[in-house]
Amino acid sequence: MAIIDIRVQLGTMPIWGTAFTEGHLTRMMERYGIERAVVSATTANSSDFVKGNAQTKSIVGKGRIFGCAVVNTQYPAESIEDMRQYLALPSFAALMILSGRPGYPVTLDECSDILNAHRRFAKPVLLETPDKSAVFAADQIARAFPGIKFVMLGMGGSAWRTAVAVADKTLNLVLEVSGNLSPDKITVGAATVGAHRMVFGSNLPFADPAASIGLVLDGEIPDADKQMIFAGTARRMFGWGGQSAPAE
Amino acid sequence: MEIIDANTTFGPSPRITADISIDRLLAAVKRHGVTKSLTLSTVGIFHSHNDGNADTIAQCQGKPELLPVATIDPRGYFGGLKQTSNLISQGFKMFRFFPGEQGWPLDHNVLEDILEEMEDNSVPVMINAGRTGDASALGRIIGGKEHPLILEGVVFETLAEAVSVMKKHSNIYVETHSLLVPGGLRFLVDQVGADRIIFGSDCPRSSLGGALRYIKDSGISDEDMSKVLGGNIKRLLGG
Repeated sequence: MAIIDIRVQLGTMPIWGTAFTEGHLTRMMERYGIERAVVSATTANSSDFVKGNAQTKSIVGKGRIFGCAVVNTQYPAESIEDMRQYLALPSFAALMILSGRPGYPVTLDECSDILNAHRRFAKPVLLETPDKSAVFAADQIARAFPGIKFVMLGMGGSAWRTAVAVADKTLNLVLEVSGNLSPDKITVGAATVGAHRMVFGSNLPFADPAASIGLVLDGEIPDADKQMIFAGTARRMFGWGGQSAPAE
Repeated sequence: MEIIDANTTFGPSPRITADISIDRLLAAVKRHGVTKSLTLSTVGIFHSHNDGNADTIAQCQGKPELLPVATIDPRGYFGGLKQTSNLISQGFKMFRFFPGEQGWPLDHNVLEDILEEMEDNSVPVMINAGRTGDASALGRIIGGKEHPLILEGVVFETLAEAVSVMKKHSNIYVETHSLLVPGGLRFLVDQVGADRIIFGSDCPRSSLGGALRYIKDSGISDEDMSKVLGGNIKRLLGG
């Protein structure tokens, strides 16, 4: 089955200090049949989004690797400037908003200005949702901006049932499957919100795609739904019919 | 290749909505070709180790694919009654401890009492070491002894600590279910050797398929994979 991985980071891994390079990613993509990946820079996610986004820009636009611009609610002006710089480019597929403080979810108050500026780009917004409080925060944001598609990265962690319940009511929320490996997650998610609102992510380089792939394959859902999660939802969400990313 | 899953549970799931019934476990084990599973009732984690151990023995009876695992909550263990040897004589193959889920620190004198009480036998012990500092504490408590200790729940952030402790203490092993970082298994094989890695899935709380796929796609040799998937735990259990 074709796979699109929407959750990948490239660069030096925090804590370990080892590099996860474009070459490493390419080999991973070949090994697992990942046809496209949406990547951000580890630097952008951990410390310096401006520098990280510039690193991402240098990697994307080569056909199979697409960019995700990262912004930080602690720096709204700089965030909006980076969005203008990158999100109009076809090689950037998404925006990720971070709170800048690990363990604290992005809140509506903090990101309203950024999202108002983002409306014109019409690209999906990725929000990290490792727990229940982050799910509720994402729901509040999605309700306030119904015209934007929001992806809950990590699907609430162990609170994935809460993520499913929330997404069932808030129709512009999409569930990304990496993180918690509960065997029910895929089955219940697809039965409740539909596979067309679930999307595959691996969380490379922190998790091997084998885990998330095995999780989806283990789900008690039809093969067509698995294919939808692996690639179909992402294709539709990003407007990809099969073409490569154009070079800038 | 024989697959023995060293980390499974069954029973009630009070904190997260989940079907982790024994039927679910047995179905997953069958579906993925797992030969044997070391398992225990979650009653022993969330309610009482006495009730849980009784449930484990009862549920494993007549099911040769399940090997019973005992648990003890140090907060409710009063020594001198030779409970550990009684449990071993009942047929329990391993002991597990749940400091994180039960909310007690590894720096706990009763835990040390229990481990000392078990020194006369070689039944393996598995303890969660998911928090930073856990593996180091366990190294100080049980490292250097004959008794095999399996670190469970080691993640990306605690892998370096686990490796350091394992290099110091040859009786310490690591279980795989939380070890999802790419190349993590090959790294462990290089650092501590395939003989010290034990396959576990946390099924049915976690996906058995996902855990198995991580091992099978790791790129380690067939010989090493055979050790990880079953050979090592079989050796620790006495064959």
